[in-house]
Amino acid sequence: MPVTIVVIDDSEEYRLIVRGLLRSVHDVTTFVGDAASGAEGLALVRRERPDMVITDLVMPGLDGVELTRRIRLELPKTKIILMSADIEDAYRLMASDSGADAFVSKQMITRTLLPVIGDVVRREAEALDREAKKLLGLSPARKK
Amino acid sequence: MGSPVGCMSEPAGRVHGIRQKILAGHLPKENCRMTWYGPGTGGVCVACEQPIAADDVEVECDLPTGGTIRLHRGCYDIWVAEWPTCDVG
Repeated sequence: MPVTIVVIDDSEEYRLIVRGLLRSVHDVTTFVGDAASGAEGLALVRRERPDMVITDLVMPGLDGVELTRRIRLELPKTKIILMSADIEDAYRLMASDSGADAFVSKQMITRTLLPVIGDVVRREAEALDREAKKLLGLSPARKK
Repeated sequence: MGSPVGCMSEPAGRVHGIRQKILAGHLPKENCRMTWYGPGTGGVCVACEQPIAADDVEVECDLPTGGTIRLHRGCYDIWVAEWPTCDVG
């Protein structure tokens, strides 16, 4: 089933870039909507309950870090990719503390966004697989 | 522009080297809690021990057990493909 994705960025240019990248993988992803602010984005996420949110980190009002924290509380299974033109350590630390799954430099967005989406989906699939094996008693620890 | 992976040139050798590091315990066998993808910051790749140039894609992996490792994107892809298959013995 395609991964449903919401895009949030106050920059129209980057919303278009991300949508363009997603179009190239439309067989495995479904773009369900975008928003130009954190508040609008949160409302969209609450309504659509997407599998994944790709959001800017630095936005006026509700920024990407606070948005990530709120989505984590309300929809813990939703995967979150933060993106930013600012890649200093302080921003990376903020992204890490927020509970996001990945953080992408906008400087390399066209080279990295699709691999990042694939990486986040793979990690989720592996976690589910491990959980299923544990429940079925197939983990190495349970076999002994 | 940097090489596709920015490290060992021969793919089989690169895979073998990374696999050996996993088996020796020098690379972890766990998924990242969070990853950062961006331009190389000049640090050394934990997998191939070569510098990550500014025009290479660098992946920084925050581990669930604490700590951060830094790799070329190509080395990261090999590491995540190999570590789940390294549960031998």
